[in-house]
Amino acid sequence: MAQVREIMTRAPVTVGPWASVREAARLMAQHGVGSLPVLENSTLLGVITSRDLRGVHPNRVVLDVLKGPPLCISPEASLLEARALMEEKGVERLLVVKEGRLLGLLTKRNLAFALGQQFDPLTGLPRADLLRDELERHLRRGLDPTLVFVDLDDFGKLNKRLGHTFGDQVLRAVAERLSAFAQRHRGEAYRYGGDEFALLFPRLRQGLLPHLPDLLEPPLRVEEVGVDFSLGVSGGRRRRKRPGNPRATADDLIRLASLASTLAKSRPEKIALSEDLEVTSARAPGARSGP
Amino acid sequence: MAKRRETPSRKQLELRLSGQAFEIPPLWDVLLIGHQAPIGPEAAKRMAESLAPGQFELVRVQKAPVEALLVRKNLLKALEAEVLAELLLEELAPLLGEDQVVRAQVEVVLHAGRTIRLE
Repeated sequence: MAQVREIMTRAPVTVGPWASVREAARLMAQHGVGSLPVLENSTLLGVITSRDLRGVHPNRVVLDVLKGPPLCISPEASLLEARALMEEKGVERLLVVKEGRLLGLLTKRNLAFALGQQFDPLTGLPRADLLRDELERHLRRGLDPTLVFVDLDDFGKLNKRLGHTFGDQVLRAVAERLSAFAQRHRGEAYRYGGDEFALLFPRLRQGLLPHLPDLLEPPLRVEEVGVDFSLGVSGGRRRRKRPGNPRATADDLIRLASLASTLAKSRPEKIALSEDLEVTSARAPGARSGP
Repeated sequence: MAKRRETPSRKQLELRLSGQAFEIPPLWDVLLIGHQAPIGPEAAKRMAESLAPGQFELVRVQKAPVEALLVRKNLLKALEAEVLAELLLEELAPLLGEDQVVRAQVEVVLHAGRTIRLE
């Protein structure tokens, strides 16, 4: 998963706090940029944008235009963290700073472009890379997130019987239902690939499990054709931080949720938990029930 | 046919001089800075610091059309900043505009009177 350092604008053009607004506007026009970090003796004071300069007397100094302290992000932060910070603060630019030193500038446009490559164009949902990244991020923060894998039943047959355009309609309808559910329960829906989706909730499973059947009710119908799917749940059981490597744990959680969703296909309630795999682990080599 | 006789061009530069003592600082007691004034509060504060170090304080105000007041610190010993700001904004209202910088003189005079009983 990409980090902020990979998509930031390096060595951005900067301006001093005592430069005039006229000079700042000239610099923006000369370099074709919409913002300038403000530095005084290599101390970062903030960032001014072309919008800040609008309607301001050109004789004023930059310091008189500057609004609030600078919003910074680490170069190692993920693109999702950057997106969350921009949305939370309602800003379109973040200064990339490490140990007080300005390394670059991250614009909403650059971020949207980079993230766009990691979103599924059919359903609009983030893809597997972003799921893995977000999962690792929660684990690093000491949370034990709950992962729900959603596997469509007999999607291949539907595709063959009714055509790929109908298949696409089904995938969009499933994505809508999952997004609405995720939004209600403060989680995020992802398209994992093919006919598999995932839901990630940054908290323990106990409050979520009673609501999972709501995902399956009422039965989903697309153009009068019933669409069934199965749910596999992993993680969300530990109150204390998980030991070990977040990356390996994330892989385990995904694998277990995926296996549980396969197991759920054979159950009338269409839901299986990772611990249910213990029963079948003898028949599925390598399926550890650790996470 | 008569020949045209050209005379050389004569240019003169006239100098006019006038002089006046420059007040230090030229700010009087209070500077009221409009939101769209050619000089902003921070720049005005820096100017005051250069001309009269440590003598002026910046008072931000929320009331349009003024963004901030640069006030001589001595005045703030006699008056609360909010009281002074309210008074100035009310009295100088006709002069104030978003694009204006207005300087004001404020004289603080204390009147006192006592009666002493003679034995």
